[in-house]
Amino acid sequence: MTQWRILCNRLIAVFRPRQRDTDLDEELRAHLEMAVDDYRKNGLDEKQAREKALRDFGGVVRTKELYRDLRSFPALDAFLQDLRYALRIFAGNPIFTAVVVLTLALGIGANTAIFSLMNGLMLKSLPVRDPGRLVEIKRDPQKNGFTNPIWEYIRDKQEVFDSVLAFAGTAFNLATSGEIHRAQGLYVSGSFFDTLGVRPVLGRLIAPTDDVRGCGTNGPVAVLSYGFWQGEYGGRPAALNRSITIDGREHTIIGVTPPDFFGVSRGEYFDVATPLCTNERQTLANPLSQWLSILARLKPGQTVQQAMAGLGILQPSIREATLPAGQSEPRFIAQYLKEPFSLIPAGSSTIRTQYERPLWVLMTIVVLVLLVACGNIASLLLARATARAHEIALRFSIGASRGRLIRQLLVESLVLSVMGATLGYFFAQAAGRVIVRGLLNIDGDLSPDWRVFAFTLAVAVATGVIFGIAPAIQCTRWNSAGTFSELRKSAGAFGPRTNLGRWLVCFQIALSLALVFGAALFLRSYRKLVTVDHGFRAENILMVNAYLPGLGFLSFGQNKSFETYMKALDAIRELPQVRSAAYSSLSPVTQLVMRMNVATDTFHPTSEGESLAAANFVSPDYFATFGIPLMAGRDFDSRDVDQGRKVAIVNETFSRKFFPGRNPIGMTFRRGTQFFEIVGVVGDASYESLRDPVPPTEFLPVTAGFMAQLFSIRTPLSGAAITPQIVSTFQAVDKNFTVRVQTLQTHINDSILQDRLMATLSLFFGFLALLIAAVGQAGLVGYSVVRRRAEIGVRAAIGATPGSLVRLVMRDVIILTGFGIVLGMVLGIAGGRFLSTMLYQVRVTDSAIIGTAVGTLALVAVLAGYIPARRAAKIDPAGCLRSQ
Amino acid sequence: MGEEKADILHGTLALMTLRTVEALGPIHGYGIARRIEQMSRGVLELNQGTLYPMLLQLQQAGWISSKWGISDTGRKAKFYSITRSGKKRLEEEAESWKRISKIVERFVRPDADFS
Repeated sequence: MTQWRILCNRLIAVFRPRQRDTDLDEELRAHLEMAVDDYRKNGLDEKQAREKALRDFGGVVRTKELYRDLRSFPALDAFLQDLRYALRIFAGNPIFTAVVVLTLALGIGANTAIFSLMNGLMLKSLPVRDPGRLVEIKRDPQKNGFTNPIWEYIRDKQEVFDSVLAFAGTAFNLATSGEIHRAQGLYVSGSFFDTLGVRPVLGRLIAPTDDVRGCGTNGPVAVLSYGFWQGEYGGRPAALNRSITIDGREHTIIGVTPPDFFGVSRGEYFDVATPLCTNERQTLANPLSQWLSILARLKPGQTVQQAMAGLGILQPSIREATLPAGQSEPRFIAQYLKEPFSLIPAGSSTIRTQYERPLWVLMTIVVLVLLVACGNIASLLLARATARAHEIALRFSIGASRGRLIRQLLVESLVLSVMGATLGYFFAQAAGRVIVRGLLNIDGDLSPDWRVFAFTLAVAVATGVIFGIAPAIQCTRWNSAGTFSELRKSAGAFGPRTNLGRWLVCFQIALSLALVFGAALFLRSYRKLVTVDHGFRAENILMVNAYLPGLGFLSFGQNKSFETYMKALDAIRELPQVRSAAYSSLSPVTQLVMRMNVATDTFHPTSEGESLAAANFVSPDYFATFGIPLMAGRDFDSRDVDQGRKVAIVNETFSRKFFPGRNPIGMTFRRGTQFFEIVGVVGDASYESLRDPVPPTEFLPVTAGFMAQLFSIRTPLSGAAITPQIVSTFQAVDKNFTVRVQTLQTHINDSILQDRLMATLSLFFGFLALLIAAVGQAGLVGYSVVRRRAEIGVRAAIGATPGSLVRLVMRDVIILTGFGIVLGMVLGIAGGRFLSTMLYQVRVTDSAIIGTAVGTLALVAVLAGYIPARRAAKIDPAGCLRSQ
Repeated sequence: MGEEKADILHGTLALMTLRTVEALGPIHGYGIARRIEQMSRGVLELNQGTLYPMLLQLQQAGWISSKWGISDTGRKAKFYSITRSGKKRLEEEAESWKRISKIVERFVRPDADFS
């Protein structure tokens, strides 16, 4: 108790130290005066009385020192003293301080910004009850998705877990007709919210009774996210029990989720959640469509290994019970039966997987930029320490210990870095928003939390120590150098900057080169992606998604809507500005794939997966619309479609692979259980993405596949100009049509968003590092010219030409730059190997790229050295000699 | 003269100070010093200055409190008074001092039996 009180009192005493000092002074003075008074009463004269009083007292100064040590915490006190001193120094050098703080703010801000993204996508715990006990069931770590029959079996039969839930993200269309009103949708099982422990802020959430086949007594229900409720309904409670149209079907709004609940995939979000039973695009009994993710909550005390073992026991019966009927291919059945389940921590998402590597690369980049910045600040501090040599020498001479001085200098560095970090923290908020909005296609909760704050603080401290420690040690080194005057001289003339400063610049050049090289790789890769020949002509193509309510993934034969779609296609073709239009299951470069094994008499696969070919179901004119050249044979015609002929068009890769050295026209291949006759060959065109090599692709008439909603239109008009016409054309055919229009170019740009992100950011950071290093180089050279003034003056006096003086200085610059470049290239090529999977058709050892990077760097570094070096030629020998 | 005077045993100064403040408080530092010297009849060597760090510690522990005031001779001085917890502490300290001094007494008696 007493100990606590002492501690508190000491802590309080940290404040207002000066007032407390004055108090003590006054108290002691009163003491002495009273003693003097007494002695004088006893007959001593003034001087004797004072002497005696002082003798009785003992050392006044010593007493004060003891008192101060006890009053508070001497270390803390000294720290605060250092802090005040540092602030005073910085206030006296506003320009120096501003430059340093701004540099640091950029460096630290970049780190915080990237870390915020990493935090949001990878580290934040899910906004649910006890997220550590949630696991995701996977088919294997790479494969996504379970069929609804598997989910229902697990839901009803499992006793391994406390509880299980299933969900699937999708896009909902909320419009009743006309242009599509998109919202991020989430299909959830009845157990979803209860298992996660999410409580509604309004109404109730989806319960197991809402999620039964046919959707229970309440009919289809919907739950809104907090953000959507705020945005679309103004946060009004009246939204409850209102009806909302989702994909053409009425749902009743029953509740709103809390503000922090974004779902269970980091970096994603949802607007509206509905029970699985409302999904009409998937027939719930479909044993093939793998659209669900499954999460499970572990039982208390249960380990992941135990749960895995339990799941392993259940696996065979799940598989037996859900084996798709009508499958006859033994290989497929065997594979289906033995495919294992595995468990991973919940919260991963495709976005997370997709961005994990780029984010690590970016994190490395920004750390390197910060290091380059640290190099500069260390140089600046060194130069300043030289200017402060007088002060430091003075402090030594009146008895400051070296440790004390280093501490003082480190406190100064820390003050700088903390100021930089504070500013950088705000930069990061702004930069983070720009990156997320402009360069990434992600949404979700990326707001900073305590981790971001702690990270920034840690970076600030580390930075302060990194750039502060070397100058602090260096400039207090001449403690033993002897006399005060020698110290001053040595500091001035042969300053400490000589070696350390050179190393710093060399290291900065190396790191910047590595960064510039990385940027060049990303840039080249991006350029290649942009200019790559897609095999089709992307410009002037509009992609139109047109939905009719109640349209599932049905085969054409089963669906009456097909007629309507064909009518719509004809109506679109009639429009005056439409050159051609087609209807297909997929459009290129949308990351969507339909793949199946094909078999021919001439091709004998040696390994599994070798006979896979990509497919698309298309209407006549598809190739004309996309500008894919017909190499041989013919396009589909209306009879192929109407009569459901088993004909196919293949691309050149398909032809080469499955019919090597033969004319494929007239040949047949087997796809699943059906045989198709090849009637045409078209040129190769990108399929799922620009990066992947063109796969062997077969095109089949639309009627051979599933119902599609996708139209492609070639028109010289812009999307905005023709959209109203397109919408009204569709609605004239059927007023229930809802339509979304996008340019194909947008799709393509979206597909290389990550490449653009990496190219843009790495270029930005590369140039930032280059700029910082150039400033460092210029500073070093400028300083060395000043330092070698005397020598240069003498040389000039005995007849050196201005040119030779500049060469003298530049020799150093070139040697330094050379070292930096060699070191940087070693770093760059070593680091580049980690990037190779992110690059498109770019080799890390590409000599043109290496040449560009090295050339840029050498030019900048030498130029940055040359500008101050010219000053050497202007040194006036006479004036210089006089001043010595 | 320092050789004739005894050094103050560590810790006993606090006891003496507390007692003095209790008996005479509110009292300023100089008064405390004078009082201790009087009580020891000039036997104790007291650097008056050492009193102040100790007064600080006693205050930090909450056993005494201080206030600015005016002395008899009209000078502004800081006056110390004992607090309730200080009184309690003083009682405990006095008790233990008595016990210890008895024990020490037994050791230093000329007829002390060490056998």
